[in-house]
Amino acid sequence: MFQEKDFNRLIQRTLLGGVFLSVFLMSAGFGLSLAGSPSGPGLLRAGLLALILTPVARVVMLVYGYWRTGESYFALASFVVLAVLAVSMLAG
Amino acid sequence: MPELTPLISLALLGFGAAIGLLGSVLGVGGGIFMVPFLVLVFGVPIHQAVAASLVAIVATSSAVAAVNVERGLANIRLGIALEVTTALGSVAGALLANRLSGAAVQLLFGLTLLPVSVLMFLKGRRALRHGPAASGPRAAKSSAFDSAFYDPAAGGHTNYEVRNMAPASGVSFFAGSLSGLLGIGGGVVQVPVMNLLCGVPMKAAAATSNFIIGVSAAASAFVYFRRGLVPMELTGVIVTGVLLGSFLGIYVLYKARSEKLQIIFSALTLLVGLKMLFGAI
Repeated sequence: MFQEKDFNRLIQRTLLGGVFLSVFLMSAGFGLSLAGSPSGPGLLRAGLLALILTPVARVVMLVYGYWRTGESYFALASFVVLAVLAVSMLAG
Repeated sequence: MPELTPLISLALLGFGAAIGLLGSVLGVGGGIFMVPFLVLVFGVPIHQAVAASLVAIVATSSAVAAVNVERGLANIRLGIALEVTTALGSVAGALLANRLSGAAVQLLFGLTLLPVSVLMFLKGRRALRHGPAASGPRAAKSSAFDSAFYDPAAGGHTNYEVRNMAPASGVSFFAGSLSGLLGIGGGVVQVPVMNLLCGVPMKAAAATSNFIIGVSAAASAFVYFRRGLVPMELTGVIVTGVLLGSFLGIYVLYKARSEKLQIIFSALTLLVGLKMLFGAI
């Protein structure tokens, strides 16, 4: 049974995972750039992109979590946010 | 664009930490301070400054929300309900941006913030005089939005009911529009909406606002990123500072009294309101 505690943990891990991945990539990017490696800027860019996409991943998890807990109103609300987000990102 | 010397990097790191601390404690993104600071002090071009500021808001929101969700401080249901109208409002704001006078919107927004600041101050001062309001074990919920959190400053659990969701959604639409029209994150509107209109305690309002603002900032940040306007190294340094400040702010928010935060927030609202008024005149 997927409970509220599991749901909160899912959201927490998604957000922390995104932040830590981003910090790891950015640190590696800075380190390699200082060492003069050509792959440094690419990793830094990937780190910032991972950070920007973290809230999007969080909304995807909200849709999934509310669908699992059977709260269709909140699943729909999360889906509307995701749709608006996707349109803004792609059309902006 | 400034060259990132060790001294400039240190200054950006410190500034980012201050913004991260402010953002995580008060539930605002801090873009309204970060953009002019980067432009005026460091000579960063305006579009790059806005892009760096948006990425910093995403960093604060993601780091802070991760911890606040686990502690029950961020009210996810309330957050997602307000996110819907905020997101729709930001689209409306972007569509109206060319048809409305920026100065008129700024004037209206500035005038609205002044009474909000007074109300926040009065509510915080009244609560300070009456002492913290811990309310014992969690009571039965009367709506899906009601919640509770453990408040160490109050020495117990704080239960709260969420009222006036319909008008709050309307104001959130307005907050979203402002982000499209004026390029601000909207936390300075979301926190008073939740605190004054919905009856959400200040700490939970700040935590939930932090949860909300990352989404709209991410959408705009992605557009800047795709257009190649995010200054990579400068943003990387600021984000590092913001994350350090945010994690410190999580501790401060957890320990601080809601009433004191409310009074500090009222000062912030007054500052932003005056800035908007002077910017419009």
